[in-house]
Amino acid sequence: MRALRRFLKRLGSSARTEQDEQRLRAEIEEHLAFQIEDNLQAGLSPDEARRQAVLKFGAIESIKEDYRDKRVLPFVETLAQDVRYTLRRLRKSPAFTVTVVLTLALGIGATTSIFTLIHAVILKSLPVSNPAELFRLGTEARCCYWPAYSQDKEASIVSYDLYKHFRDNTQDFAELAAFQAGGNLFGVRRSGAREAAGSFPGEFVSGNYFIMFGLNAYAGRLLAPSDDRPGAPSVAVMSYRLWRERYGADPRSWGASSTSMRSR
Amino acid sequence: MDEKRGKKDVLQGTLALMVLKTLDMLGPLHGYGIARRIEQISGDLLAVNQGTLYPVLLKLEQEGSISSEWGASENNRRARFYRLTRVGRGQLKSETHEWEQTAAIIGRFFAVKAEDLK
Repeated sequence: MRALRRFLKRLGSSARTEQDEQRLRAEIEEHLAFQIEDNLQAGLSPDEARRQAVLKFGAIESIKEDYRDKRVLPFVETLAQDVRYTLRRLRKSPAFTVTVVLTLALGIGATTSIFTLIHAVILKSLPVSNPAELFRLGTEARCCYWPAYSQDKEASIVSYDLYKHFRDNTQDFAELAAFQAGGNLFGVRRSGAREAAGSFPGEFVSGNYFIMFGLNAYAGRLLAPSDDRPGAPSVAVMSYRLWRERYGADPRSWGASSTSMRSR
Repeated sequence: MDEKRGKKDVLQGTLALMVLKTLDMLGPLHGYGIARRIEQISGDLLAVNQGTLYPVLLKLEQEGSISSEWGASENNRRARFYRLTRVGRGQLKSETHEWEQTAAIIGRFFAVKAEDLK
């Protein structure tokens, strides 16, 4: 508490330099006058009285220095001095100042706008055909899946029937696709193989899911609305990465019907 | 007046405590008065390099332990008078307590003789 009070005082007194300096000078003078008087009374000659007083007081300049350092925060004062000095120098050579300011302004401006462009075009866009036309329907930033419940807000999760109603009765979107609110682990094994089933995360999506994104399959085919019927044979889409990493990019995995099941 | 030898330099922290105690005993006092009083009480064994007092006074004032204002001294000279504040009184109390504790501990260390430990 005391340290804080002192810090604030020191921060504030950076502004009142002149006044405080005068006060210290006056105090030192008073002090010396007292001491000289006492020395005179002790029987010293005026010159000697003054000499002894100054001697006893100690090195005035170093005390002033110490006083100054304690009064303000030295680094703030140094900073203020540097800024004042800089401004003075800049005012003296306007041509140089204008050059520097323009160079910095143009440099910063150019880099900022280039980055803004790159950010919008490359970094921010999704790897789908028309990212700008894509919307996620929900009221919160984290919506539409189970973990959204943790935010204690509207999670915007709808039933499959409601989704079908929206899909069939909403005119403003070219496609309205749905994905499952939570993820699952799917046990996957190539048909006829004896190996143990591998377990991979996946989710159920509506038949028009990939059409909405405007994606094409690297091999085989993606889901189509025709897969969305009751009794249709079950199909799954494997990510390119999984295919490369777990199946050695084996072309025979295409179309090989795998056993899949919901593990939870 | 070459009596520096035999006198002790004052540690900064101790000086602050002495200033507080002096103001507590004598009431508002100017810098020279504080310096003289400290010398007198210490039996002239402590040589306060008198100038070092002023940074200490400033620090105490910044901390709110003392306040100061210009006034007239006993022989009608203008001088800056320092007085103890409520905060300073509290600080003096707690620091006195700490100092006594430290002194007591050190005292005990010196009092112990080798035989006592057996």
